[in-house]
Amino acid sequence: MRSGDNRGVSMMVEYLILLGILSVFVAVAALSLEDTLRKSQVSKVVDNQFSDVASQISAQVVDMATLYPSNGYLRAKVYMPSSIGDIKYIVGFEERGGKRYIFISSDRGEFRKYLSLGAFANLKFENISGITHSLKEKHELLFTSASIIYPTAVLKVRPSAIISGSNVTIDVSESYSPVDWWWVVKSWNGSELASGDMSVTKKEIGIYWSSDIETLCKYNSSTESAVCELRLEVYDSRGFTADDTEEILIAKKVGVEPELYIKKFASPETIQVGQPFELHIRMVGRGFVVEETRQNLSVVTVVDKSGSMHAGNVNEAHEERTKFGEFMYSLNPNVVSVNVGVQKGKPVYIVVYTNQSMPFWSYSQTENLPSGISPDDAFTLYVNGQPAPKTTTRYSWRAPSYGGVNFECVNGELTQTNGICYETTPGTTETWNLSVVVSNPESIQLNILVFERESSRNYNYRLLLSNQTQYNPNYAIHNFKFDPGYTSNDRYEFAYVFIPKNYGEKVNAWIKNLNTGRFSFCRDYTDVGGKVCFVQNVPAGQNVSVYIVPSKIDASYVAGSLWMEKLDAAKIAAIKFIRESLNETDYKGLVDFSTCANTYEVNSSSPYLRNLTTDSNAVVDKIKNIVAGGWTNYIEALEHAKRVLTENVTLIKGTKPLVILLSDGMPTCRNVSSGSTYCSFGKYTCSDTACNPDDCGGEVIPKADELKNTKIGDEYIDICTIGFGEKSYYNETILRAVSGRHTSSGVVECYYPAETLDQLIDAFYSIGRIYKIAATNVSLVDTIPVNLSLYLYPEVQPELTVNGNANCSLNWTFVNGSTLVNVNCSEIYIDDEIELVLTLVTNEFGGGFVTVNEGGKITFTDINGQQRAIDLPMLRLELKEAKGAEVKIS
Amino acid sequence: MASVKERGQVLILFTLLISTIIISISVLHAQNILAGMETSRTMMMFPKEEIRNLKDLAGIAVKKMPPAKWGEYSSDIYDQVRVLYSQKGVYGDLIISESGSKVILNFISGDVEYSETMNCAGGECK
Repeated sequence: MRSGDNRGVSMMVEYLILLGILSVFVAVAALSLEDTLRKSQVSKVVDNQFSDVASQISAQVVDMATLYPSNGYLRAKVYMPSSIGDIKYIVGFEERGGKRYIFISSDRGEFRKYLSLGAFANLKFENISGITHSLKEKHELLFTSASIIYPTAVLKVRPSAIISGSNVTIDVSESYSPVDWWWVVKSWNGSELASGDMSVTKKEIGIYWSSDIETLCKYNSSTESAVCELRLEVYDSRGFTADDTEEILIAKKVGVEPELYIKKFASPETIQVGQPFELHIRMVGRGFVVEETRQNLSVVTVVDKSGSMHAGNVNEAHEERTKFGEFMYSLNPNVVSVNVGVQKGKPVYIVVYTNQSMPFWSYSQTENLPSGISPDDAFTLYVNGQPAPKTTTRYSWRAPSYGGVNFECVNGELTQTNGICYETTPGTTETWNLSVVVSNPESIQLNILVFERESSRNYNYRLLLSNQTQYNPNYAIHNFKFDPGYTSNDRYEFAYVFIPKNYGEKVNAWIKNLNTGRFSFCRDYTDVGGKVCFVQNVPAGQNVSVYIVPSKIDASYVAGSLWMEKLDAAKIAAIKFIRESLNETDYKGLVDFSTCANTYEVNSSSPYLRNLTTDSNAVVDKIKNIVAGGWTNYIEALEHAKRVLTENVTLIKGTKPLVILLSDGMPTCRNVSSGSTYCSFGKYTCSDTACNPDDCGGEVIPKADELKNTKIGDEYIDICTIGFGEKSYYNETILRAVSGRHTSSGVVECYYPAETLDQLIDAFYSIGRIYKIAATNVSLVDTIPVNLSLYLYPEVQPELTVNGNANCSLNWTFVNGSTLVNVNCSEIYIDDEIELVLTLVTNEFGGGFVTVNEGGKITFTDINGQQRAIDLPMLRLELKEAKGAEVKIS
Repeated sequence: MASVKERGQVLILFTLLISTIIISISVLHAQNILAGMETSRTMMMFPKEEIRNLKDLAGIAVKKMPPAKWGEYSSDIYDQVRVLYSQKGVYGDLIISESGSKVILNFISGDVEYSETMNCAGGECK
């Protein structure tokens, strides 16, 4: 090797070695420079960028806190780079040491930053949470806040006073929660009396005297009674609770004077700013409906027995009747259905029949069948769902025979047996569906035959189908009965069942006549627009059956009403009143009137007081035997009532005289043509049968005033009137004017309209309750302070509900920012419920409590004539901020 | 000659190294300049005032509600507010319900969606 070559190799090696050393140096230097130059810069950039993102979120949270929808949501997009440098990161909220932070952390954890949200975050938000990753496509902040509707508990106990061992109705129906809720009512000792869920809000329970009553309730040893507190607790599925209490008077005996029970409560008891709430002030006449609680009465019942109170036949009953019940049934007609193949152009002759007898359609066995009706009318045939018209006529020599029966057909009805017939020519070759409904309440053997002819000129029949089936009808039976003890010989004039046309045209009906044991067909009457079942002289206490049998395939429902004679209804109501509303010590008398009035002698044992008696049965027996007929002579009826009450004022002194006048018609007058048959005092004459209302008023009202101005002892006569039946039949204006009840605030109207039997009974019952006063001259004054506003809108006004006979008025005035609410009741009677409901809204902000109406007061006169004043309790309502405000990042 | 060549190579290598570092730092620097942009954008874009205005409108609408035909009035207000807000390129509505005791507000913009049911009993919305 030459020296030059050696040098070259040596330089090459030297170069490589030097390059290697340099490379190592450069690599070490580069690493060092990366660390010193790049990473330190990256950390600064990340720090800045993290601050930016955190500040952005913080700014949005502040904005949300500024807007702060108290019942709603706010959703805002958050923008952030998916990476900073090549660093991916997560953003979220974190709570540390009681402070809330936004944190941002690189996903490897080498960079981390916290930004405090300040004190407002703790104050404003109940919860702040969530996390998001920078690589997520979208980021958002969601603020939510909901107004919580707290549950409400309202307990009402009826009656408010009971004798130990009696039942009370627990009513929690006014309680409320927007979610599922349950309730429990506990007694004074904490034991459970009743409970249920939101679907059962009324329960009847027995209340019994127990030894702990004397210690746990407000016990009055002199009257052996106690006022105990029942507590209602309402729980809902969110875990919220509410409670309410109600007082009840429990007595061992009835010698407790009636009084006024007052309750004031707010609903709900926890509210939020701006949320309206109801303030209820409830006054209840608490006491016992027995003779000790009120003055004795002397009552003359004056019953209208004019001709319109009676109906002697069905046509009269269409006009004059009283509803006493209703019924409704779903129907599912039994339909026999067959299919048959028919050919185009070949006439098809269909026969539906039975060989059995059908007594419900037989004149000899069923009453009231209209002429021209036959068992054939029970059958209805449908071809492909359409009713087959009854138009086919085929005389015997051209009609088919089968099984020894010739199927002669006249107007769609078979002449040789019970059934129908129908011929038609198919337009196409196809399969027909034949359906049959038989409206007959008994099972029959039903036959369906289908014949075919080759052509319309050919009368040779080919049997296509023969179907025989036992037809069992599906039908409804409605039973009802009249109560015994109200009418002469326990017989009612008539029973009238009405089925409106929309139901009646799809059914046939029969009613059982208990006198003959046979059924009576229910006919259609166009003048009343429906089907009527009518039987007369109906014995009480026995079931009257109405059979309702579908006649059409689409009869799915039937409803109807039950009616009785007006006079019978009046007898029931008057007798119930005497037996149930009047006491054994009350005096009772009876006057009935039509063309003339008649006073009944009910007290044969006393020569000094013949027309009034304390014996209820004596009056009841007379009422039972009243027979209707004649005109409507009001003036004489009133005169007779006066004579009854003034027969012996000494004997009935101290009682409250009362006339109850029941009438279903306008007062009539002496017609020139009626001559002397019309009994009347004074000049009560006119040229027509029914007097002009003004003329009548001119005669009748002064006579009524004469009565009302008559005193028996210290008591004026009261007149209560009942307009019975359709309002257009009687003169309501006159009946209102005739009525009058003397109260501490003057003479007030005492008029009750009644159309149905139930309404008539209620009218009498209401009159009976009037004389059971718990308090008089009741005045409630409550002031709504400036921190509360009365919520007034067209649909929301202060509301006064009177359940009973109390006569109350409500008014409110605005004085210096406060609202003065005033309720006045001239009387409150036992079991009356008067409830004042004010919708209020608080003007205060923030948490704490709101005081509701200090200084409210009720003044009244108790039954002993003593003036009393009761301070209304002050309520404290909890005022809460909207709960559940939270912010979430995602 | 050889030493000159070697120095040149080292120079080139270092130049490459330094320029790489400077480029990457400049990228970071550019990002650093952008810091604060999201915050300021949010501050500017958040429709705080529009939503506040909607709340104010609710109060005014309830205060001016007529004693009758409030259903008709509510319908008119709803239409008017929708038109008003659509002119700003956003959606806003205002539904007066329950005879003025409740007002439902809705607002939707590109970035923010808002809905609130306000109690407005007594003519004052809270």
